[in-house]
Amino acid sequence: MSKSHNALLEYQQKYLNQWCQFVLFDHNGNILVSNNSFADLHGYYGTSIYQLNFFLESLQSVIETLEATQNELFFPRMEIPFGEKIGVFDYTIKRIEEDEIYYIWIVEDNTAHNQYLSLVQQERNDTYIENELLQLKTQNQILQEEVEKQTADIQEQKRLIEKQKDDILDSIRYAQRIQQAILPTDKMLEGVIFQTFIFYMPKDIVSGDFYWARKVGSKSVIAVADCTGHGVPGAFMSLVGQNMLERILIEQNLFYPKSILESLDRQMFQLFQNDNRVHDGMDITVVIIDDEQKTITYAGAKRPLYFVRDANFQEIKGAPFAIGGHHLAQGKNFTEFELKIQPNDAFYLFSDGYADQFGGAEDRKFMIRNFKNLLLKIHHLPVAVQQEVLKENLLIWKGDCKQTDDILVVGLKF
Amino acid sequence: MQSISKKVVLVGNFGVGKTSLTRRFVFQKFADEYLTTLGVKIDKKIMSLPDLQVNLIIWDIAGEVSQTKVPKSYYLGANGIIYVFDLTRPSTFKHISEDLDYIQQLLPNIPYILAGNKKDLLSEDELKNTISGLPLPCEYLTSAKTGECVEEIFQDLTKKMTNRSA
Repeated sequence: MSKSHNALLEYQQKYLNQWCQFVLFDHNGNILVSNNSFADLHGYYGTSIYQLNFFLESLQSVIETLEATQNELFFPRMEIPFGEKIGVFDYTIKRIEEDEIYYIWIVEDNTAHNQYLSLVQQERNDTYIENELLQLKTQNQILQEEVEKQTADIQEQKRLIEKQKDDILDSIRYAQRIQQAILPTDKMLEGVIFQTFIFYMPKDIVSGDFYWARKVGSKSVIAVADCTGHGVPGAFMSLVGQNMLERILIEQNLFYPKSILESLDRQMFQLFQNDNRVHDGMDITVVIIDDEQKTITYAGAKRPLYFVRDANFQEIKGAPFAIGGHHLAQGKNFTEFELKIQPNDAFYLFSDGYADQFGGAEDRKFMIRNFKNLLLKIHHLPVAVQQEVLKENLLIWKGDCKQTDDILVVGLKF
Repeated sequence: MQSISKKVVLVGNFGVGKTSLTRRFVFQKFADEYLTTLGVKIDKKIMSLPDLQVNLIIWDIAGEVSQTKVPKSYYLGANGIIYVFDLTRPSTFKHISEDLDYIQQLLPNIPYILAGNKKDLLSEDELKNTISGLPLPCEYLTSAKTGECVEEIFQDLTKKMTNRSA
C-alpha cells in the first residue's frame, strides 16, 4: 500500500498547480486510495471502481489491456459529474507498473476553460446551422420561383397552342362547308330512272373521299373516289379530282368511263410532274347510266363495282392501278364494262373505308366479305332504309374504336 | 439473469439531435433548445432481453463535421455505433459513407445503425425527396421530439450487439 501511496503522492506533486482528483485502483478494479479532492471515496476503498462509474464500466476491457508501451489514455472534455461536483473534466488513465500493476485515474477540472470553449462552439454551431438552413431556404425559394415561372410559361404555351388549334379547326370547319357545297346535290340527278342513297362519313372534319355526279341529256355520270390520305391533304386532292372531272365532262365532252379515267390520270400526272415529292392520287369508280339505252357502263381504278341482280351478288373488278401516284400515265390501260340494266338491279360504288373499319369483339377489320353479305342482305330495301342499316351496322361494329378512314358508299337502285 | 455492459457511441454532425435522442431514450424527455455538447456525455440504460440484461452505456459525443476530428479515445471499447444525421440538413448526410468507412477502420466488425432524425420537421413529399437523395439506405427515420423510432434503434442495436433476434 505504501508504494501506491507513493505513486499517488508523485502524481499529486506533478499536478500541484491544478485541482485534480486522483484515484488509484488495482488490476481487479478495487479502489486502493484517492486524494478526495472532489469526492470522498474512503467508503469505497476495496470495492470495484467499475461498479461505481459508467465511464470506467464501459472501458473495463480497454483498461485491462493497457500495456507498458502504450500505458496512458486521455479523454478530454468529459461532461459527467464527479460525485456531487458538476463540470467538464479531462480524464487520464495511466498504467503504473512497479512490483504490481496499478492504474491511476486522474480527473482534472477544466470547467472554466471548457465553459469558454463551450460558448465559442455553441456560437459557431448556431451560426453554421442557421446559415445552412437559410441557404437551403433561399435555394428552395429560387427553385420554387423557377418552377412557378416554368409553369406560367407552359400555361402560356398551352394557351397559344389551344388558340392555334381553335383557329385551325375553325379554318377546317370552314373548309368543310366549302367541300360540302362542292359535293353534288339531289338536283344534279333529277329525273333519273333510279333511286340513290349516299352514306358519307368523313373520318375528320374534311374528307379525302368524294362523290361526284352530273346529268347531261339522257346520261348520268356518277363517280366515287378515295383520294390518298384523309383530312386536309385528302380534301385538297378531292377538290383537284372534282375539278378535273368537271373539265373532262364540260370541256372534253368525254362520256366513256374508260376515257374519263385515262384523262384524269393524264391530268394528274401533268399536275404533279414538276414536283417529285408528290405521289398522291386516287382510287375511283366511274359509271355512266344511259336512261334511253338502259345501260350502265363502268370503269374503275383500284375500285370494283358491286351489283345485285335477281338476288345474286356480282362484282366487276377495276384496273389494278390508281389514278396518279407513281405510275406513268402511258402505262395504264383501263377497261370498260357495259351492262344492260334490269328492273330491281342494285349497284354500289364505294371507298374502302367501310370494310377497313376496326371494331367488333376482337378489334379487327369489318372485311370485304361481311360488307358484301350486308349489301346482299339489304339490296331489296328502299334506298333510305339501306342507308340507315349501313350506318347502324357500322356504329355497332365500330363501338368505342376510332374511325379508321373516310367512309363513302353510294347505292343506285333501279 | 446474466448481465452484460455494452458501450454505444452516438456519432454524427453537430446539431443533428444525438443528445436529444439519448435524452428521449433514457429519460423520455425532449427540449427544443439546442445546447452543444462540448466533449462527451455518458448515460446508462438497462435493456432487458428474454434471457439477458444489457447495460447500455451511451456515449453521446460532440458532433463534428468530419468524424476524423473526434478524439480517437472516445471510440475505445465501443460495441455499437449509432450514426445520426439531420433529415433537414443535407450537409449532415453528405459524408456518411466516408465517416462510416473511417469508423469501421477504427472499430472493425461492430454493428452500426443509421438514424435520420428530425422527421417531424418534414412533410411527406419533402421526406420522400430527402430519402431519395441519401447516399446510403437508412433504416430508421426518427424524431427525438415525438419519440418516433427512438426505442427501436436502441433495441435493434442491442440485438445486433448481442447477436440476438428477440
